[in-house]
Amino acid sequence: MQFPTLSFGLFFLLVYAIAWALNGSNEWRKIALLMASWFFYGAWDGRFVLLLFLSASGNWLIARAIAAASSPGRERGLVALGVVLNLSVLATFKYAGFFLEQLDALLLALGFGRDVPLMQVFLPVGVSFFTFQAISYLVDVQKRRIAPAGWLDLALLMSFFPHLVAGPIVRGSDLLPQFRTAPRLERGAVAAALLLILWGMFKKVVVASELATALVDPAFRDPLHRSSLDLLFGAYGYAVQIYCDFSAYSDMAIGLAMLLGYRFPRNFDQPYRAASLQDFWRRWHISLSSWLRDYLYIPLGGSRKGRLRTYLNLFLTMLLGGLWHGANWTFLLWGALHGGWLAIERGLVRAAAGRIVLPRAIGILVTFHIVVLGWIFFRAPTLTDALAYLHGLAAGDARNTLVTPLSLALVTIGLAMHALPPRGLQRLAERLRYWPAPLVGALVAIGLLLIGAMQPEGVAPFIYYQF
Amino acid sequence: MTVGAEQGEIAEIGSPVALPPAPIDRRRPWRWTTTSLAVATLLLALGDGPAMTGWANDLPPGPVAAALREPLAAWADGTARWHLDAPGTWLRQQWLQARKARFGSEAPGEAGAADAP
Repeated sequence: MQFPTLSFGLFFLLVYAIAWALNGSNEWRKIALLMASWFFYGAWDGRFVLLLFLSASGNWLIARAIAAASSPGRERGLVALGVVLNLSVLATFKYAGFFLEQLDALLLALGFGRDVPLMQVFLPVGVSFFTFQAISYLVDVQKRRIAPAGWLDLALLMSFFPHLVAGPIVRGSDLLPQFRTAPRLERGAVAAALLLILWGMFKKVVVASELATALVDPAFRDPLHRSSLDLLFGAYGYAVQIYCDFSAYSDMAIGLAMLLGYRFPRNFDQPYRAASLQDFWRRWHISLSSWLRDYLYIPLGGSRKGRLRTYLNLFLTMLLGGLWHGANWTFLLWGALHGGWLAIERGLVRAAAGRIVLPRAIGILVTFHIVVLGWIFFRAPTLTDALAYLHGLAAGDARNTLVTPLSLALVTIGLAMHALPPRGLQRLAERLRYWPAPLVGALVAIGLLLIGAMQPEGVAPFIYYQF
Repeated sequence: MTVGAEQGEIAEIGSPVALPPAPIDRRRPWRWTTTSLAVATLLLALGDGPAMTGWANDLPPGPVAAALREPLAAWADGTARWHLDAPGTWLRQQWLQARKARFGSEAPGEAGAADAP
């Protein structure tokens, strides 16, 4: 069940009606939302619901044990146990096949091949998101940032359907306090939520889906038989596609949660207007980058242990961030590129010591192209395909066999979104809250009808579902 | 609305649904929201009948799908008789025309791959 479908629309309207009908009893409301979330998740595969139930229950038990622990050493041991258990869930479903494949290849090269049983494991949708959420919950309980939650609250935190399959990674410190009392709506927040849902639908259904089928997929499918110009626009197209796809999911998740009375943090903030890679990561998938900062980079020592260690920590953090996306050398290289450039950037800033300041436009251009280079590795199915793509890009063939006026316009629109005034949508919502409800409803309907008219046949799943 | 969320990420990076408060925010917000959603749903049902029949036809075979198909097809026919789907159909045609547009005499797309080096 995907967000931009009629099935989900009907499901959501039913959940909205039930949740607000039960608002007199916060516990029953949360139970209903948990059941709805499990139904939503079970639509992919019923077995995944069991995994989610076991994960929530296990983390609930460990958090209780941490809170009741008699010494800091015991607390740390329990957190370590929880982190290992959560990571082993992730490792089993996401990385076991990859590592066994690498082992098989290594043994084959050494003459001991054919002994490793290769595993075909179904990847539960969103497992990376709820695993990271659980780890941060345990650490936060141990650090006394939050109190241990009841089973229902924790299960709902991990299962809540708006963020379940593709984030944002909403931390316990944000959502658990909101679960304690029955929520209330505010017109302004609802107006912003409706605009976010509409904007997200536009980005996903019109821009991302159209670009994927018309430009990006053909460019990446067979890069050796495309001109350099095709591949250049294919790479720009993917930069726009992945932004419009992933940020659309986040926008819709934030909007849907708000309609049920809960607030999620911002996850994207016009990332391609970043003037440095560090700035980019403050604007792109903010919930992941801040998670990596708080639960990996800082525990590794952050910038407190000298210059070289800082660079190494940056590199390692991004490398593991790349691995989080999936078991593939392409993701590792993508992470290494980001980590390496972040370290170089930090070194250059230190060396310049404020004497040389790059014009902002140059910074934006350089950062954007570093990011686009990374997207080539991110999108290519294999390392060989990524290298073939780069080889084709460098060939210098300027014929156009792929770009159409529509795809060019959509790339331009996707990039122009980053030149819009920051917080423009919130400013619009500030006005919308004064409008009469029938007019707002009509506006939403017209927006959805316009988007529906431009919808391709069958909208592809969100890119981040696979993570 | 939020109790204690100031300790989390929302306090650090904000939320796109957090607006400066105004007295109107508390003026029957649930009724305002529900009316907006109800009007939007009604207008969508009136203006996009074909989407509903397409959805019913794509449902996995079963008693629910069978029970839905006929009434939704009748509903879509009814809205088409009143030309309620005309704006959507017109826009769809314009969009398909835009999709077909090419630069000059080139014929890009999958076929272009064969002509490329």
